[in-house]
Amino acid sequence: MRASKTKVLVHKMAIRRLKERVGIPYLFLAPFLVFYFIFLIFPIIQGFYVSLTNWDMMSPEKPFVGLSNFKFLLYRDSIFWPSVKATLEYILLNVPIKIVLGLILALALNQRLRSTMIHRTAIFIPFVINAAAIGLLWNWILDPQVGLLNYYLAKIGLLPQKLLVDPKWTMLAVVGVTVWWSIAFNTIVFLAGLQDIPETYYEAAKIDGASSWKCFWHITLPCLMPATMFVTIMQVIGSFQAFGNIYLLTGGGPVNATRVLMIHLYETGFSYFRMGPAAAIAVILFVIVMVFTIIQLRLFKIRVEY
Amino acid sequence: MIFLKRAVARKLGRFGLFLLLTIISLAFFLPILWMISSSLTPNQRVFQYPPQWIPDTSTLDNYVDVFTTVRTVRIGRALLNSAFVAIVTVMITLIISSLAAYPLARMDFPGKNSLFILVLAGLMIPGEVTFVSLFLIFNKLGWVNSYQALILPSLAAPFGVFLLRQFFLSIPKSLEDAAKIDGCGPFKTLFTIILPLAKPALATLTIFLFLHSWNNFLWPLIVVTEPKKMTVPVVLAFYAATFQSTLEWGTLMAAAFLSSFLPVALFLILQKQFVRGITLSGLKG
Repeated sequence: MRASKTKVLVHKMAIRRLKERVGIPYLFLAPFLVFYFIFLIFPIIQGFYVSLTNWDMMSPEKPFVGLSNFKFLLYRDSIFWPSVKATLEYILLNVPIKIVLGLILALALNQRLRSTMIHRTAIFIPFVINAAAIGLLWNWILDPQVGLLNYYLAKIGLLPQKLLVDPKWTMLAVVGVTVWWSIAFNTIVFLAGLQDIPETYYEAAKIDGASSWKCFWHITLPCLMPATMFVTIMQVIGSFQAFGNIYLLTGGGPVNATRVLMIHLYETGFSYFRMGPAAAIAVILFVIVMVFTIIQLRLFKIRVEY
Repeated sequence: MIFLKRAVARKLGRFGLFLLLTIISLAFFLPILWMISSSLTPNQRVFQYPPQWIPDTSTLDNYVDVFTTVRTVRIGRALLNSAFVAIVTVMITLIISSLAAYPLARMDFPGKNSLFILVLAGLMIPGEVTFVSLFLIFNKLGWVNSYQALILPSLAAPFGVFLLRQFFLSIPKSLEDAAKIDGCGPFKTLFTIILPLAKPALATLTIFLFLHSWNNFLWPLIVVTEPKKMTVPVVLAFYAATFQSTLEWGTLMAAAFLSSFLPVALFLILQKQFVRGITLSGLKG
C-alpha cells in the first residue's frame, strides 16, 4: 500500500516537473509561435500549393494544374526573363557598390573628426524615409524635362541626362538612388566592426614597422570579415525584395529595363489577379534567395575560419 | 623640423577628409532639402529656372491641399492610420517577443535548439514571398481593407525575439537566482527583473519596429484599396499615380515630406538607440 502511494506521488511529481520544464517555456513561446506559423510558415507552404493550381479569385474551383504556371513563366510570359535579368542586374550592381562605398564611408567616419556626428546624421537621414517617398523625390529630381539635376548639368556645360527615359541608363539610376537611400546601414555595421578591432593589433603592427596600407590589408579587412558576411547576406536578401524605391521611380520601365521580379509579382498577382503565376514567381524567388543564402553561409564560414 | 612637417601633413589630411565628408553629407542632405523647398512652392511655379532653394513665394497651400482637398484620399486620415497601426504593432510585438525570448535565453527544454534555428531561419526568409497566399487568406476571411490585415502579418517577424534573446543572454544570471530563492515564478521574474534591465534593448526594438511599420509599403499597397484604410506610403503611391501626370510636384513633395517627417524626427532624437539596434542585431552573438 505505502509503496504504491509513494510511487503515485513520485509519478505525480515527475509529471509536475515535466509540466514545469516543458509547459512553461512553451507557454511563453506560444503567442509568438502562433503568429509565426499562421502568418509566415503556413503562407509559404500554401504558396507552394497555390503555384500548382489555376487559382481563379472568382471561381470556387481551384483545379490542380501541376507545373503549368512555371511553364507559363519560363516559356510564354514575355516579361519573366526580362525581370529575372533586371533583378540580377540590380543585385550585381547594388550589393558590391554598397559594400565598397559603405566600407569607405565607415573608414572615413572612423577617423573621429569633430564633425563626425553631423556627417553620420546626414548620411543616415535618407535611410529612415519610406521607399515610396524616395522613389517619388528622385523621380522629380531626375525628371528629364524639369528636374533639378538637368538644370545643374546644363549650368556646368554638360548634356542633360535622360536616366529615367533611356533604358540603357535607368538601372544605373535606380541603383544610384538606392545607394543614396540605404548605404547608411552598411556604413553603421562596418563602423561597429571597426570599433571592435583592438587597438593593440595596430600598435603591434606599428612596432614591426608595418605601413598603414599593410595594416589595412592584414588587420582591418580580416577583422571586418564577420561584418562583411552579415552585410552581404542582408543586402542580397534585401535586393531580391526591392520594390517601392524602383516602382515609384520608374514603374518598372522603360521597356521593362527595371521591372524586377517583385514588380512582376505584384503586377501579375494584384493588377491582373493571376494568383497561380504570381505564387509561382514567389516560389521561384523563395528558392533563389534560400540557395543564395546557403551558398553564402557556406562560403563565408570557410573564409572566416581561415 | 620633420616632426613639424608631419604634424602639418596630418592637419592637412584631416582637413581634406573633413572637406570630402562635408561634400558627401551635402549630397545626402540637399535632395531632402529640395523635397522641403518644392513642397513650399506653388505648383505652377515649381518648374521655374533657376530653381529656388528658398522659394520667394513660399506657401503652405500644398499642405493645405493634401489635408483638405476634395479628392477622395486625404493624408490626415492616412497619418492617423499609420500611427495607429505602428503603435499597435509595436506594443503587441514587444510583449510576444519578450515572452518568447525569455525561455530561449534562459530555460532548458526539449526542442529549444530547433526552435531557435527556426527563428533564425525566419530572419532570412523574405516576407514578400508570402504576400500572395497572405492576400488569399485575408481575402477569404473578408479582412481585405482592415486594420487586422495591416497589423497581423508584422507580428510574425522574428527580429524582436532574436534581438531580445541576444540581450537577455548578456544579463547576469545571479539576479534571477536571487529572485528565484525569494519564490518568484518565471513570469514575475521576466516582468520585474529582466525587462527593467533590458530597457535599452526594448527602446531600440521599439524605434526599429515603429519605423518598419510606418515605412512598410508593399503589403499595405496590396491589402488596402479603400482610401479610409490607406497608410501614408500607400497614399503616396496613389498620389503619384494621380498627380504625376498633372505635374503637381509641389503637392507630391508635400505628401512625401509628411510621410518622412516623423521617422526623421524620431531618428534625430533617438539616434543612439537606432545605431545600436543595427549593430546589436547584426554582429554581437
